[in-house]
Formats: sequence, C-alpha cells, structure tokens
Amino acid sequence: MKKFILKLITYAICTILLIYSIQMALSFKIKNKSTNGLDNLVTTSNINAELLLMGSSRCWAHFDPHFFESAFNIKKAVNIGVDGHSELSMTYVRLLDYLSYNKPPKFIIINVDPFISANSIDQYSRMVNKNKYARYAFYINNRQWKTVDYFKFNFYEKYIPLYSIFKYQIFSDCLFGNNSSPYFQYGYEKHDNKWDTIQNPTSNTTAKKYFLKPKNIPEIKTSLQKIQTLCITHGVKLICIQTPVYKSIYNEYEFNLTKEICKDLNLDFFDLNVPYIRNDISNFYNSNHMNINGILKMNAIMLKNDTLKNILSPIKNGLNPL
Amino acid sequence: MLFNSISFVIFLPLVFICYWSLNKKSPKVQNLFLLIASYYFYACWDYRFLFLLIFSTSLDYFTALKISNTQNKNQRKFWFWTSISINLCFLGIFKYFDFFSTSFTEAASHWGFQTNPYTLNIILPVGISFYTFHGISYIIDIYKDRISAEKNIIDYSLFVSFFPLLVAGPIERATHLLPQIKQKRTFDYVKAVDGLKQILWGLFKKIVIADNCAEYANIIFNNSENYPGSMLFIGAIFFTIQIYGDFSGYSDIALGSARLLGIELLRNFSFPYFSRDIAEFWRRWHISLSSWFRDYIYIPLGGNKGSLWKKIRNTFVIFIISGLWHGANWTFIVWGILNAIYFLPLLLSNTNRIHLDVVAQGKILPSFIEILKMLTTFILTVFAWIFFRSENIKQAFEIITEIFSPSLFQYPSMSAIELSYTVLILLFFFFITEWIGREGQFAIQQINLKFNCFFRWSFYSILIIFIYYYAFMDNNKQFIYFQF
Repeated sequence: MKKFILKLITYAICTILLIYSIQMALSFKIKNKSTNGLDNLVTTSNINAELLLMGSSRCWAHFDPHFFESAFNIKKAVNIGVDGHSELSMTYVRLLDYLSYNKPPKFIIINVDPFISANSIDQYSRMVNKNKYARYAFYINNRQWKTVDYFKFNFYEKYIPLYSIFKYQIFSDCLFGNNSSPYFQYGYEKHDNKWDTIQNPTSNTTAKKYFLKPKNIPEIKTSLQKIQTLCITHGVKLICIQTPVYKSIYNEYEFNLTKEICKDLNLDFFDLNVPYIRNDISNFYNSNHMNINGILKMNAIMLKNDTLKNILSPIKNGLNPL
Repeated sequence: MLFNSISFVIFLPLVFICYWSLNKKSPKVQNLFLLIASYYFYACWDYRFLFLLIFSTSLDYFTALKISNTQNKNQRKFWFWTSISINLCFLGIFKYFDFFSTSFTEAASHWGFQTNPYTLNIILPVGISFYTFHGISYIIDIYKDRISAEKNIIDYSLFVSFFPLLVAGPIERATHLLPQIKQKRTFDYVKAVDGLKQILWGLFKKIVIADNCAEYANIIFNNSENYPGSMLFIGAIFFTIQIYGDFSGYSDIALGSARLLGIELLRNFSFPYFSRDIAEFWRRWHISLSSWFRDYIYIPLGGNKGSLWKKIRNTFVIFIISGLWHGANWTFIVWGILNAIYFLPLLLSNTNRIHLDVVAQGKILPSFIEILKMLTTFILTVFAWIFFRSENIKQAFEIITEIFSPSLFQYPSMSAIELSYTVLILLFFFFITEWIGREGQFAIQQINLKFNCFFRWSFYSILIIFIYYYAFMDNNKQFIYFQF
C-alpha cells in the first residue's frame, strides 16, 4: 500500500510538473504578444500614450490612432477599445489597468452611444470574446489583472495549469500566434469590406435591442461618472464621441439620450452621427460599424470641428485642455 | 456524478483512502462504508430516485429470504412472481410505458380508431435497467436453488448498488460478486496498478476517442438528408467507434475502480471489433448482458436445442429483448432483429462457436482471411448501428438507401464536418494500441512488461495530457449507456 501511494504521488508530481511546464512555456511564448485586436492587453502596458481611445467595438473599429496623431498633433495615440464590450465597467477596469502601467494620458476619447451599459447583462457566464482573454486567465499576475478579472474566470481556470487554454480552445492560438499585424500595435482594426447585405440584410435591426433603456440611465451616469472621477484624479481630459450608425437602426430619441447624459455630467460630447454618413450604405460594413470609407468621412468632420481641435491641440491654439 | 467529471476525480481517491484505512477492521465496516459511498454517488445524480433504488433492493432482499425460508412450492412461486412482477413493473413504467402507449395509439389509428396516447413523461432513473437485472438474476438464482439467500442486508445492498457498476453495469451475478463482498479484502499492489491503468485507458477511450467521434457522428446523423452515401457511411463508422469507446470506456473505468478496491467485476468487452464473425462479436460485446440473456432467457427457452423452428424463435426472442432492453424505440428492436438475422446462419450451420480464441494469437499481424473476416463483421455491425443511432426507422432506411446509391462513391468532403487530423491520428493510435493489447484484459494492461519505467510513465503522461485536453475542451459529455 505504502509503495503504491508513494509511486502514485511521485508520478502525480511528475505529471503536474509536466503540465505546469507546458503552461509556463506557453505563457512565455505569448508574453507581450497579441494575436489579434481583441486581446490587445499588451497595448495597455508601457505605452505612455498622449491620447487614449477607449470603448467598445465602435471605438476599436472607428478610431484610427494615426489619424489623431497627425490631425491633432498628438505624440502618441493608442486605441484600447474592446470588441463586444459596450459596458462602462469594462472601460473602467481597462483604464485602471492602463494607469497602473503607464503615465496618465493627456486625453481620453471614449465612444458613447445608445449601445453603452453600466455592466454586462451576462457577466458571470458566456461573456463576449471571453475565450480571447482566456490565455491570461491562469494565475493572473500583476499585469492587467483587473481587465482579466472582469471576465470572472472561475477557480479552475485561474489555478489549474492549461485548464483555461484547453477549455477555450486557444492552444494553437497560443502556440502559433504572433503580433505581426501593424494595426494591433495600436489596437485599431481597419475594415475595408463593404456591407454584405445578402448575409446580413439591412432590414435586420437586432442591434436596436441593445439600446440603453431610460430606466438604466442612472446607473450609466454613475459608471460614466466613475470614469470621469478617475480621469480628473489623474489630470486627464475626458471627451465623449458618438460615432455614426446606419439609418436603419438610427433613432433620434436614443441618440439624444447620450447627449443628455454627457450634458448632465458636464462632459465634452461630440455627435458625429450625421445624416451625410448614416444615410449612405457604402460607409458601413454592418448596421453599427463603419468601414474605412465612413471612417474617412468621420475623420474629415472631426478635422473641421474647432471645439475638438481646441481641446486636442491646445498648445497650437494657446488653450489649456483642463 | 459522471466518471469523467472532476467530482469523480476527487470522490474516488477519497473513497480509496478511507476504504483501505478501514482494512484492519472487519469487511463489514468496509462494506458499510462502500454502501454509503455508493448511495452518495447515486444521489449526486438525483437523490429522489435513491429511494426507488433502496425500495427495489429491499424488495428483492426480503422476497429472496421468503423464498429461501420456505419449502412450500406455492409460496415460493408467489414470492418469486411478486418480486419479478414488481421489478418488471418498475422497468415497464419508467422505461416502456410511453413507448407502448404511443405505439398502441399509432396502431389503433392505423385501424381507424382515433385515440390520444396517454404518456407519463417521467425521467428514466439512471441505471434502472442495470440494478433491476441484478435483482431479477438474484431472485431467479434463489428460486432455482443455485445460491442461498443473503442474510446481511448491507452486503446484499452493496451487491446491487456498488458504485462502479451501479449506473451502467457490468451486470453482475450474485454468485460472482457476493462472495467477494463477504470475504476480507487485502490490498494487492499489482491489482491496484492494473486498476489505475484500466481507468486511464477507459478515460482515454471515452474522452478522447468516443467524444471526438461523437462530434462527427452527430453532425452527420443530425443532418443526414444533406450528406451523400459516402459521408453517411463515414458517419456510421464514427458512431460505431463512438459507441465502443463510450461504453467499453465506461466499463474499463468501472472495472478499474472496483479493482482499486480489491473487487473483480465481470468483464464486459473483449475487443469486439476484432471479431471474425457475428457470434464472436456477441461473445465479446457487452458480455455481462449477453451472458445474462443467455443464462436467464435463452437457455430456459431451450437454447439451441430442439426443432429448427425453436432455434429460430429463441434466437429472435433473445435479440429482440436485447434490443428492447436498450431502449423503448423501434430502432432498437430492428437493431436486435438485424443481429438475429446475422447470427442465425451461423447457428443453423453450427459454426457459431468456431472462433473461441483471440484472433492471430501470438502473432503480430492477422492473415489475409482473418482481415477479410474482421472487415466483414465490422461492416455488418456498422449497418446495424445505423438503426441504433437513428432517430427513427424512416431515417435509418433513408441513410441505408443513400449508402447503397451511387453517392457512396462520391468523394467525401471532410471539411464539411471539420474533421481534424489530430483526431484521425488518435484513432489510428487507438486501434493500433487495441490490436497490440488484444490478448490482455484491456489494451494497455501488458504495457508494464514491455517498457521500462521512463517510457511507461511517458506513455501514461501522453494519454493523460490528451485526456486533460479533451476533457476540458468539452465539458462532460454523458455516457450513452446511462440512458439504458
């Protein structure tokens, strides 16, 4: 019996060590690498950007950091928007992470639109793109733990080696992934494609069901205020921008609600959801995301906006951003 | 609690340690502990049905004592039929009521009588077919004076409810298991190591082989109308491997777990896909059930003795009942009939017992004739499994019709089911390992003798990593035989 138990323990230790070594080797392999724009946690550390672009996929796919750098004389702009997450709580933890590893930026632009919510409605189970962050789940260290913690990985995923990597089927992604795409260094993903209206008809207005409800306004305000307070504490100027959606899902009342929220919180708000862009299908690749065509038009509007210019290029205009 | 769950990974070592630490005491204490552990194991699935299990156990225990304590023929007969009827009643209500009710209504409507089927829509208690059969065989053995009734209710309850065999067999016999329960068990190193290896191989068969094949089989069978004959045939092969991996994997885990506790259960599988004819297949597939039917139904009916008509009748009876045992669906009955049709020519020509040894015993490779025979048997079973897997008879016939159409020669598009090369390699590895280890109780039993410690441990580690990988990737798929 003794021999059996001893041998079993020895074997178990060897196997655990083997599994742990594989996990460690994979962790080393993916260290400081981002396999796609979704898990661009790497862009949240040691960046020291002057302008931080934050928000959901509508930030991730709409705000080109290079444009902001060249148009507004910004030294370094980085997009850390998270695809699939319009929750302000996500933006908040991501900002906390960023501030832990970087100097505070001068400006933060956050996309604010009717898709925002205070918290995830599905916070504890199948969060959007949870698998993309699973490679960070094991034994979350100091780096970016707040963002990763947001996804509520369970005990097994956090403390059993290889569990999360196997469970979320990202083994090959970890093994072969690299950070070769230039876009992802800045977190922005450009979309060249046009709207495939056969596969995704314009009549499909399901995106509307995610619009904020008036009853949720108080909690949205609280969450936004939390971000605002954090910005003020670190001397950061917070700017809110509403980007265009296609006319089929546009609703004047909803898109004015965001304006009201920002007004109540005394936040700078820019509504770029103009008819000129939203009425033209060639500007979109789906109902709520623009392709490069739409983005160029939106950028042109921003360039012409003196108020925005005055905030983002204060030295040139002799103004204090705060 | 599933054998392939984290809870079982915690449960088994705890039971193992506590059980052997009680070794110095009498086996009674160990048995009581095992019984409590078994009831806990069963209650993890649904505690309400635990009462049914306890009731069924108590019924058989007390009626067996009644039969045993009297010499009056009528009284013996009364208690015997009381027990058998109640057992079958439970099985009938929980498993077959809805099926017979629906079938009766359909038949009535066919003859012009419109009625609505009365169905119970109740959950099938897991393992009911298995523990009911334990009880029935025990009562028959007592009635036929083959054994004497067990007086200790703990020992008898453990015979029925021993957790490794409780939910999906093997179907034990009182003559085999009860003496082991009653005697003092001592820890045997070789047995324990064997047990662990068998559990490991069982997990590999279930999690790596069966669950992967299930993915492909499900895609193809669930959309069978969209696939050509070639793909449907591949789907049937995947199911053939799945059901073997699933059930024999379960049996290996059950046998291995019992062996860890010093108890030998009846062998349930013996490399059935290396059989050279259907008779051999049935001697190697679900052995505990086949032998149960043989001993308690086939032989009492006359077996292969008597007139030609009797032989044919007995063969059909046993295979149809076997089909019905698997589930309340016409597909299982047709599966049984098909196997009877396969088996009959061998029985009638008296060639059903020519392959009693292991194929290519002592050799590395089989002869050409043996390959041909194995392949024929395998293909016959693949066709039978189509009925077993299909939702209904109509789907089964549609699949078979498509397989026998020119589309069988259409190049199968593996990308349609996203077939992984890793899975193909694993399947190849699996069959090679099974072939090499076919002379043992399970495929990797002999590995101890062939490799040194480093290679042996590395081999186990590779298996563990694959189990680990697929276990976490797909969260806990249930065993197919749980539904029976």
